[in-house]
Amino acid sequence: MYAERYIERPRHIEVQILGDGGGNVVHLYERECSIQRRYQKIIEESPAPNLADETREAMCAAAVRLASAARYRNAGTIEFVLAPEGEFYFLEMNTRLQVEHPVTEQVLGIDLVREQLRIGAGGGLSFTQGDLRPRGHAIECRICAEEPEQGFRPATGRVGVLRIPRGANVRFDAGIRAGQPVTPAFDSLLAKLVVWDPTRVGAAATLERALTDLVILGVPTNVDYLARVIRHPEFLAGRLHTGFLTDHVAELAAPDASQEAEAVVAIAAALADADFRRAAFAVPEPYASIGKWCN
Amino acid sequence: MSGREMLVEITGRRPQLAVRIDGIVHGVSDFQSLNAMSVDGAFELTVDGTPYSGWRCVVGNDVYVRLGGRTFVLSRAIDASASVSGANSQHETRADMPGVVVAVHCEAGQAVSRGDKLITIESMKLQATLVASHEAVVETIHVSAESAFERGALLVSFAGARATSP
Repeated sequence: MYAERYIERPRHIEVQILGDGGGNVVHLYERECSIQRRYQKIIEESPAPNLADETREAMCAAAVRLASAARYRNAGTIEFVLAPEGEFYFLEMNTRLQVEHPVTEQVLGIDLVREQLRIGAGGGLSFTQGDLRPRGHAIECRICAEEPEQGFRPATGRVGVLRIPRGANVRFDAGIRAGQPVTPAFDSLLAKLVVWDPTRVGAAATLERALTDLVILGVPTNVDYLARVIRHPEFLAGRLHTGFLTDHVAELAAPDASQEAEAVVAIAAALADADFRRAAFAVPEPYASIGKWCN
Repeated sequence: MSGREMLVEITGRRPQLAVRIDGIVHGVSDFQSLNAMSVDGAFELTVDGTPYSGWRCVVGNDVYVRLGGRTFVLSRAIDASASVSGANSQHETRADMPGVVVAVHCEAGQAVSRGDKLITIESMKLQATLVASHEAVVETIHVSAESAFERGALLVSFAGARATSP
């Protein structure tokens, strides 16, 4: 029999580290990754909101101790489960760069891939722990080809229209371009939308605006669902745990659209049909049949 | 749209285009941007005197429209008997998402009961095992292990419900 401690309403908090292989390790602070569906992260941020400084320091120190003892060489992430009472427990270590690494890059102004390559080339760490000063707040969301209202069922299609949101602190990491087919051969992740702002509230507002401006059409995506999560009062209050999306499933469902909006959409869609378009643009009688005549 | 069928008809063209949707007539004007064989991109149109702008894209039978920061997907209503939404009719099991076959658990001629495993499929890291929805006899398995299929593809067809005992 195997017994494991059960934590209710846990938070998933992870610490980014870089090790040079000689026992020198620096931590690059933590990320909060509690917003998950199907046990997969879809929104990540740094720093973790509502986290006591002592807990942050203890987690980062534990991550450094572990990586240092292993004489770890590479970028890596130590993942923890944080209980509501403040205790934290080791979950696992990912010995690679993770999808959500951009939020750490935005807050520290560091290129983690460059640091990885530098370590790999034998160049060691290019900074000490004291050099790292986190600034502001970064949030990332994972844009996926899926239907949230169908249990997040993965979807396929084609990226028919792609309009990327612009902004000084808006970063769009994607491997897609207009016209590209979305097939079942790959994971459903299409792009990562990352924003930075001096405050968490500001970052959430910037992200919401970017999600509204982002246009990806031709394949179902979770863009509108993500915007509803970012807008949720509990998310804005930073009251997160790994059951967040399940707990708030009713409030996160798409609201009914207005009758006017549905009418406009239906008309725009109907005009995609050749017969409908012909009828709509036809010259009305009797002008079509008037010819030249004289008596 | 949203699982609901809408009837969209042109009821007049003078003095402006009139379109009836679900019994309500709307006046439509300034829709030149939509006069093209295929418009994948930005559009404008005025409905009932209010101007709107949005984005549209057509992929196969689906039309995507983004309006007011929200994306809608509409499908052209086709014959119910030719539905490709993935519903399991009495005599067939269809895929409701594209993917590959992981394993086949039944064979032609086999009598199955409700809940018996038919096929395990995988799509985008998600595995699902499809089971029989009622008593039936498997007639044909249209796929094999590792074969790929599209959404709506016919996976298993049945000979017909087994007659229940009196």
